[in-house]
Amino acid sequence: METIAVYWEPKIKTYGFKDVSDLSLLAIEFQSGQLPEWGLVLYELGDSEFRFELVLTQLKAENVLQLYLLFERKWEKRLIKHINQVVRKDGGETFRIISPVELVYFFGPHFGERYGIADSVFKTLTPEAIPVLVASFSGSIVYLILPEGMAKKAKVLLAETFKVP
Amino acid sequence: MERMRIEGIKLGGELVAVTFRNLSNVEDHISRFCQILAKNQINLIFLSSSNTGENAQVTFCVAIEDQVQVKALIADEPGLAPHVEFISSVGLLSIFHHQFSLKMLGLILNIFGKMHLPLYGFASSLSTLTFITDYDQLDRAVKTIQKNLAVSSDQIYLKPETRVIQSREVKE
Repeated sequence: METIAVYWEPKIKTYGFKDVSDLSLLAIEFQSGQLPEWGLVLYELGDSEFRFELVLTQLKAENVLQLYLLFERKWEKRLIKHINQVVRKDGGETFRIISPVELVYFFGPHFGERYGIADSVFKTLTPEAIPVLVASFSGSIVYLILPEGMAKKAKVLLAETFKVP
Repeated sequence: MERMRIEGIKLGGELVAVTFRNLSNVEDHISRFCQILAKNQINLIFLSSSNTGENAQVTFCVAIEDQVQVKALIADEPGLAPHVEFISSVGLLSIFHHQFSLKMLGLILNIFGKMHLPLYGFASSLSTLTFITDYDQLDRAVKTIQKNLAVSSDQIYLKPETRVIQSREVKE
């Protein structure tokens, strides 16, 4: 059975934009076979206070994963110390921290089921020379990790393209 | 490692994953390609991009029925075609709620890694961790997760019962 709902919006509706500053982005590259071990590393780091803002992984090459972890900058030293102890440089594992960075995120109705959302984001930011370090569109939410000082500007520009409540 | 409680598991439909690697001018390419997909009314069900120095990369998923059209559109783009890899068929497995907990994230990655399933990417959203793996392995993944995490069987949505699509007809 097919049900059709007609919905027209002159601007793409969102539930509002959020921005977060003073963040750090950890990038770890490792063999995909090492995923259980890296899961254990993160498990051991976890406590009630240390929380992530965003995590994503890409397959960089055959059997090579790149994991990006975004977190509050205040945890940077603790994380670097821990990762330095476990990273297997002789096994080709590498990590680096990109810091400070900022995050803009927003979500809207049925974003995961509609075309044109990513197009609207990139055509707003790219001509304005706002570099997007990492972007993630998953479900109804859009995350954009930006260099320091860019989040407020990006938010203003995106608010012109999208409808803000 | 303790057996932590999750609130549910959700599976998506059959998709194709498309990855561009080693792109130069990655932002111009992403912007242009998203524009092409929007013009052709093709929905990006999942997208991740990274441009943090070397080896800029974009991975996205589209519905399996859009595969032929997407391949043709990429073939028409000389700046993109040499950098593309297609993986079909894949599916999305979403686990919620992650609670932004490193402990929960680590546990789930540990379990997922031990399953020896192909992992083409994953990303968090406000409450969910969404994994891209082989479509025909989704049911096996659910069974393994059930063994290792506490989740009620009525909180597993094995296949989507309804599908929402944006019509290609626009009436003003």
